[in-house]
Order: sequence, then structure tokens, then C-alpha cells
Amino acid sequence: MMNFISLLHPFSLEIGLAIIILGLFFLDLFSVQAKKNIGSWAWGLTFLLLLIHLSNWKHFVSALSSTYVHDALSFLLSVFFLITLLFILAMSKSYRHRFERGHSEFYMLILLASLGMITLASTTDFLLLFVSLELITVSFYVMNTYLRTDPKSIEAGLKYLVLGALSSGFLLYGISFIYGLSGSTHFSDIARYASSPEANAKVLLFGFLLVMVGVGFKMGSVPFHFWIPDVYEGAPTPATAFLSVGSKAAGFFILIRLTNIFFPHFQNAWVLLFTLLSAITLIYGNLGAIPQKNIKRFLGYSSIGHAGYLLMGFAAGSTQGLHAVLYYLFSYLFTNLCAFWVVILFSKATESDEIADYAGLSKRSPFLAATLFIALMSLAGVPPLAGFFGKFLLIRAVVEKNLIWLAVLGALNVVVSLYYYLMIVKKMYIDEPQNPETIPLDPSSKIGLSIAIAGIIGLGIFQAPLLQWIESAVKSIL
Amino acid sequence: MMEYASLLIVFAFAAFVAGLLIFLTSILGPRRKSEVKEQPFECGFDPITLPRGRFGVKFYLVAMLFIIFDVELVFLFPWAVVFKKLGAMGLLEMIAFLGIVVVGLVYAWKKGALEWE
Repeated sequence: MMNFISLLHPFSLEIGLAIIILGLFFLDLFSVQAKKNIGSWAWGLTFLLLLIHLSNWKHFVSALSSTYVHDALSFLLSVFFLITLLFILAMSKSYRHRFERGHSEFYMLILLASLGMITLASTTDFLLLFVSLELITVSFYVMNTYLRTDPKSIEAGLKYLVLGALSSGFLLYGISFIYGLSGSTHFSDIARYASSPEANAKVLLFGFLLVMVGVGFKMGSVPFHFWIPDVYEGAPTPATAFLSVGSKAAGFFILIRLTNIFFPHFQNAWVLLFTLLSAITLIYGNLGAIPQKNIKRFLGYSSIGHAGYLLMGFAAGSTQGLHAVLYYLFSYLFTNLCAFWVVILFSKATESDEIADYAGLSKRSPFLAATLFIALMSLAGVPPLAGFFGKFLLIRAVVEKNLIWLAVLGALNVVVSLYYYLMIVKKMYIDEPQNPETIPLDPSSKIGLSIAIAGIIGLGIFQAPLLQWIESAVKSIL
Repeated sequence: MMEYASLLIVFAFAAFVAGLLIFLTSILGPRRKSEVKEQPFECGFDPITLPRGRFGVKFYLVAMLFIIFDVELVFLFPWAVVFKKLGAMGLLEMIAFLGIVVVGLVYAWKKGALEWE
């Protein structure tokens, strides 16, 4: 019996989340009263789980012959995912009127996807990684198609399904190559093989490139980005927000773990690959965002651009690069979720996602307009907001590696992105509203948005605590 | 190489028996041709139908539930083989697994997936 408990102990967070999911299933089935408030139940229980998890700080263990590791990095990542989860659960509440049925199942799917993300944060084995990635992707297949009668949502789900399955195939193929060479799916065994004299670097690189196809799909970097605009537009907005933060971050987190294995062994190819990917993604995302008319599509293109910035950190390949990537992701979490929350609240009142309808938002709801303004400025990277410091760290990491042209490209793209973000700000503040009705806001959304804004400004001004935490986390995997 | 010789013998013997039976039926069997016998055979189905057959979407639900419990059995059989070695821990693990599957069944039941009409 003791044996059993000590075996389960490393998985306490995952089991906690699984119990919440199953418990909510039962609650939903047997209690009509709870069925109505299932979102609040989910939120409260997840918040409790986050508190318990935070109190477990510094309790690092490994399990399953160290294929499952709780180190400082996985602790940081699981906190990232839990915060994302709390935001998504909260904003889903403002969106549930759009679903004809299956309200509570939507929350379960969000929780299931985050369960996949949290297991992904701790895995150091390709097979476990694949299983947790599939848990995320399969939940998103369903979530993206949740507006069953809306052709756009069905299109989004179908596109995500076909391309997701294809990229999973590539990922598996890459894993099989790496396994065939090294005889193991475990990261540390592969690293040992890669540094041994008999390693076949070329085939290993080929395997890594195939894995990158699968990871690139998750990150939404060019040339694996084709699904992003359509899926972002068609999927229910909370699912889009979750895709743009949780799923994207999952891709980058995999890459952070892989950096240590592969970067030392083919540095030249790695730097070339990631500078090119980063440059193309930056240009494509930022130029693509300019002509967009739908705000979700617009944020989709902007998220491609952000993937480009994040890839700059991997192009540097240094510890500073990884610090910058993690910091950027935290700032992106608050900023992007804040923007999407405004989009949800706006579409709840007006049933529109068109940018043209945002005209005169400052007169209809000064609070929403100000919130979206701050979020967009942080996305563009205006000091003193969080996005600025993230971009600063990334560009510094790239400059330290003498990739000056990439740094210049990144800085130029900040200017381009300022243009299209400010176009929306101009719409909101200068243009006259077509329909001057004020937009009602419920207090809980106001509190949530204020917390997101506090996160954006707080991370922009007080960088040291998070940066120190990130540094100690990255140190744990070196 | 030699350890596979017995396999080769079994293979040759199987081929011989099969070949012999086909040969014997072709010599000894009566030949009475009819229209039904000339048709291509596919167990139970009409040989010629429209390409887009329709059948009830309810079958998919049943199939999904069937798969879940089928896979459950796949786990149960090897577990039963080593049950004694696993001890109490193995029992607890399997109870946890079955518990999750049962939640799925209760969910499907409650939502009316088992009602045919």
C-alpha cells in the first residue's frame, strides 16, 4: 500500500487534475444545480489545485525510470499551463451562450487538453511526449468543431484534424528514426548517443527535422502555419485563445527540452535552420496581419509573427535565448489572453468579430477599449509593458550570438506590427461608432481583465522575480 | 539457419495439404453451374449495390462503446496472467483503470447512448 502511494506521488498534480475532470463528469450527470455552475466549479477546483501545487514547490522527484521528471523547469511550465487554464475557464463563461448543447463537456475538454499540457511539461521521453501531445491535439479537434452548425467551425475542425494528423505522422516518423539510431526514446540516452563517437549525425539531424515538422505545427511557424488563420477564425474563441497560448507554448516547451540534446551536436545546421525559420515566420506573420478584417484572423497572423520572435531565442541557441523564450511566453500568456478575452466580451455584446465593428469602442465601453489598447501595445512591444521586455531579451540573445541581421529584422518587424496594431487603436479611439449603445460588462470579467492587465504591466516593470525563477529553472536542465 | 528448417517443413506440408485438397475437389467435385454460383462472393452482402450505402449513425455509437471495452479487455488479460506477482498494488491499479472506464460507461448510459430509439 505504501509502495502504491509513493509510486503515485510524483503524479500528484496530474492525478489531481484527472480527479477533477472525472468528478466534474459525475457532478454534471447527477446534479442539475451543479450543471448550471459547472464552469465555476471547474475554476474553483483548478485554483485550489494551483495553490496546492505552488505549496509543493521545491519537491523535485522523478518517476517511471526517470522518463517523467519533476524539476524546476517542469514546475515552471506546469504553473504556466495552470494560469492559462484558469484564464481560459474564466473566459469560456462569457462564451457559453454560443453553444447549443454540451456546455459542461466544453470545460472537460479544456481540462483534458491542459492535462496533456501538464504531462508534457514533465516528460523526458519521446513516447510520453507523443501521448501527451495527442491528448492535447485530440481535445482540440473536438473543441474547434464545437459550433456544430457553423460551417466555419466545421472547416476549422476539419483543417486542424487533417493537418494535425499529418504532423503527428511526421513527428512519429522522426521519433522512429531517432529511436532506430540510438535504441532509446529517452532524452538522456539520445543525448548520450549523440555525443558518442559512433553517432550518425546526418541521420540524427534528419530525424530531428521530422520531429520539428510536428513541433512546428504546434508552434505555428512558417511553413507549418497554413491552418492558423482559418482555424483561429472558425473555432470557438476560447478554444482559439487556448490554441494560441497553451498549444503554441507546448510546442516551444518541447523544443526547450530538445535543445540540450541536439544543439551541441549540429550547431551550424541548428543555427541556420532556426534563423531561417524565424526570419520567414516574422516576415510572413507581420505582413499577413496588415490586410486582415476579422479580429480572430488578425490575432492568428499576429500569433504567427510572435512564433517568429520566439524562434529567435532558439536561433541564438544559448541559455540566454532559452531565458528570453520563457520570459516572452509568460508575457505572451497575459497579453494574448487579455486580447482574446476582450474579443469574446465584444462578440458577446455585438455578435461580431469584424474589425470594422470595433469603431468607436472607446465611447461604447472605455474599459474594454483601454484593455485592448494595453494588450495590443504589449503585443507590439511598447515599453514599459511585458511584451517589450520579452522582445528586448530575445534581441539581446540574438545579438550576443552575432546574428545582427536577424536582430535588425526583429526590430523592423516591431515597427510593422506597431502599424497594424495602431490601426485597431485608431478605429477604437478616433472613428465614430455606428451603433453608440454601451457594451455591458459583468464584474467577474472586469476582475479577470484587470488581473491580466496587472500581469502585463507587472511583468513589464518588475522583471527580476520571474527572470530569476526562469534562470533557476533553465539551470536545472543543463 | 538450421533451426528454421522445421518451419520450412511445416510450411511445405501446409502447402502440400492445401494443394492436395484443391486438386481433389477439382477432380472429384460435381460441377453444376447456376447463376448464384457464378456471382463474386462476399459474405452476406449483395454483390452489386450503389456505392453510397446508408446505415444508421447509431451503429457508430455502439462501435465506439464496443472499442472502449474491447481495449479494456486487452489490458485485463495480461494483467490476469501476472496477477499474483503484482499483488495488492496491481489490484489497486486495475481498480483505478476500471473506475475510469466505468465513468465513461455511466456517462454514456446517462446521456442515453444505450437507448436504441
